[in-house]
Amino acid sequence: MSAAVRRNHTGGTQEEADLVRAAQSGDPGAFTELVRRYQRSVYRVAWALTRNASDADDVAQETFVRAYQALGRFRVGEPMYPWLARIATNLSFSLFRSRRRRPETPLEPLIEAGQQWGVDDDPSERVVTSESVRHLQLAFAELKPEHQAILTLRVVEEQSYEAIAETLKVPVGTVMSRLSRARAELRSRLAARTGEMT
Amino acid sequence: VNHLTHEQLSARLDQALKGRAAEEVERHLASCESCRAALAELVAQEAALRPALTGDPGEAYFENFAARVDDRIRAAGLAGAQGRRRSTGFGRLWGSPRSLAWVGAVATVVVAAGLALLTGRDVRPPDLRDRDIATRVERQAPAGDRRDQAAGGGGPPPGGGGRANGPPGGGPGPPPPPAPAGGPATHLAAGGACTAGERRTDPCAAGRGAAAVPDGHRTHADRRGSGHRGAARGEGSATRWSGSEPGARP
Repeated sequence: MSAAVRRNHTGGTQEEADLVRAAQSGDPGAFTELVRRYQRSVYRVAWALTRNASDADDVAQETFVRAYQALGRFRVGEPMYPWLARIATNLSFSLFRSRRRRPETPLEPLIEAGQQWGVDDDPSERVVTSESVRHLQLAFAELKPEHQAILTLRVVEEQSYEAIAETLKVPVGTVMSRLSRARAELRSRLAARTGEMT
Repeated sequence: VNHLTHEQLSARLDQALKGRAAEEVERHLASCESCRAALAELVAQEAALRPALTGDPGEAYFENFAARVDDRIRAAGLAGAQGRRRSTGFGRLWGSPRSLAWVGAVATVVVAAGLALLTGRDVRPPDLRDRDIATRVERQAPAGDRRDQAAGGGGPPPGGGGRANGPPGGGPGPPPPPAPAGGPATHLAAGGACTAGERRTDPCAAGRGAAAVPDGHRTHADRRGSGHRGAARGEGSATRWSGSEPGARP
């Protein structure tokens, strides 16, 4: 999905408002259409924050279930994506916290995610990229949840500072400073893993 | 040399700087190789991070994603938005745990207040004189009288002085409500105008079905000197003292 399309998520359109209104009135087709509209974005956020297909699937589905439950309180006309992204982020970190309490639960490797959903991947290419990707993923996993969330929204979803501020309910200035700290922390942790001097 | 801060570099990476701040950063980058290198490193990290955080399950996964969400919603038996929105008025009280807690708290207060009221009435210090009279009436009342009273007839409840709508049998209960004007107990309800002396003669006695009440009973009531007042409270009733009712006072 292009960045331009992704940025459209941040502004509530009239069409979206009509869908939300219809869904609130009990039209199941309208809610299904909202799910179809945002399923990829929500899944991307969930995957970035859980880094395995099983958890991402669970978080993405649960995000829409929670949204359905709370749809009656959603204000028509507001952009829906920041709300969904916030739900997905919170669910991901709830999972993260429960995993931290149960450290015996292993994180599935990246390749397992591809195999589970039948994604074709070239084994030789996998060997080349897996090492650096694994370092980066592990360094990312060591970041604070708030840093993981902001990097996901910026790097994966390519959201603007304003949209991130709306999603995370923080001022735009906080987005700028938090992003900076998150990147610096990631660089530091990655260097520690690969033996580089920072 | 003042190098760019990490925050400036990060914002530059995102093209988030505007106006003068953006100009200053560009001017510095043009003349500082160290800051250009730091920015390049940041760009590379960002480029590597994107694929590391992206898992694409393929189109097949998304084709039935909405159906799986729908199944999950149905499995959970969720009412959904429309269910919540249609829940109005009293039904809304059950909509959330907080509302439910409020309802429970209010119900508890109401029940507690009611119990306190009833309990207060029950434990009110007994009127010893009334008890004495009641005991004597019970001893003196012939069985036939009690049968007559029990038969009652079609008139107003015997002994229910002033209690046009009172509970039959005179069991313990709340004080009688004011009798409606124009009913059989109108005169009694007007109570204060009817003295103990008058009761024997007519309207008061007739109004409360005196024919069914043995004379002796009324005599006791009169002897109390406050019989009418007691009757109005539902305490001076001969029927209640007869002992023929399970709820009769001793």
